[in-house]
Amino acid sequence: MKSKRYLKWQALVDGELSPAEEASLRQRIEGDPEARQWTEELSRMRELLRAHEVERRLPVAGDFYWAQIESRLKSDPEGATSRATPGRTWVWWRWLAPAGAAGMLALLSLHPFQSPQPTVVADEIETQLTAANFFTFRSQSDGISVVWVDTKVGQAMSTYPEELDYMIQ
Amino acid sequence: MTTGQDNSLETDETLVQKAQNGDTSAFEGLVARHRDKIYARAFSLLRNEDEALDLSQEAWVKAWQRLNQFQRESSFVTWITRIVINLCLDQLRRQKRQKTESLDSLNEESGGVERQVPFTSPNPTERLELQELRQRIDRALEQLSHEHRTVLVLHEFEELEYKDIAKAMNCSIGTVMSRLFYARRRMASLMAGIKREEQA
Repeated sequence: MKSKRYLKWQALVDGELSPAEEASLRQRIEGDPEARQWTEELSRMRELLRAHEVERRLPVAGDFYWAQIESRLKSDPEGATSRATPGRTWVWWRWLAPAGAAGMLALLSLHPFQSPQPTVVADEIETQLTAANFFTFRSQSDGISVVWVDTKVGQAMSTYPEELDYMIQ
Repeated sequence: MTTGQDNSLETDETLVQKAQNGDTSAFEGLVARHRDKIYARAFSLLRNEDEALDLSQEAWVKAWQRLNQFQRESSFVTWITRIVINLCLDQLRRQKRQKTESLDSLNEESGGVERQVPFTSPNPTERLELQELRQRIDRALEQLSHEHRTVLVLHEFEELEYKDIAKAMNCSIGTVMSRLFYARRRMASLMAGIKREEQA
């Protein structure tokens, strides 16, 4: 069947054949223009994809990302409970984040989940914002965390927010 | 933030060892170092920012909880990547149960590879800007069914063998081969279409 030939050629390109099978197939392909064309095309696509994966970066601040991981670990340190429906947690967090700004800031100030003593203390700030973006920055050498609260949600933002609303140290 | 420690000069091996002894700042260092890659792998499979963030974070949680099971048979980043891949595949399986079969799957099953005509992949001598080429590939990947995209991601980006992909996807090696063949062919076709759109 012809489809088996295609898949064999593909296996050859992918290095999935035994040495004996590979040698035998290579010999047969020598005199087969169609097989040569297919293996060249498959090989080209394979190399193209391997060399050109889009580089993607986390779309949120690293501190915020870690704070959420830390929060999950605190609530379930041994993995005793199964998680809620995947995908929902993040959406829930993202939309409630503005309303829960005070909790967010407090979370950033908490000590590591197994550390005996807190190392950073931050003020708790309440807000009535119904929609906002949060950006955090930490300088490890200076031992400070900065939280930007941007109220211009929905506007294009190619750079950091201009307004520095709150800063904690 | 919380700990204020700079782990940037330490190796993964050192950080893992410290984390296995309960040092959360060492674990945070590992997260900071590899979070982009883990998020990117989740996104490449799920194509959804919120889900990718959620499952990549879940992968880190599971990694912490299972850290003592990490035996150093592979690198730490390979290990955590496998965790996020498995979480994503579970998620895709759950989603699939809630949906009807994709058109792509139907096409593949009814058409079979024997009906395929030779394809023409993008010519590497064509002078495309690197970023432009990557964006074209990414747009084409987005249009694949999740089964075909998953096979491509695992084979081309993670460089897994057929048998490992079959195990991860809970299917036969023959299905992996068929899906991979179809996916490559479809990618070539989609990329050619995207090119025509861009030139129009």
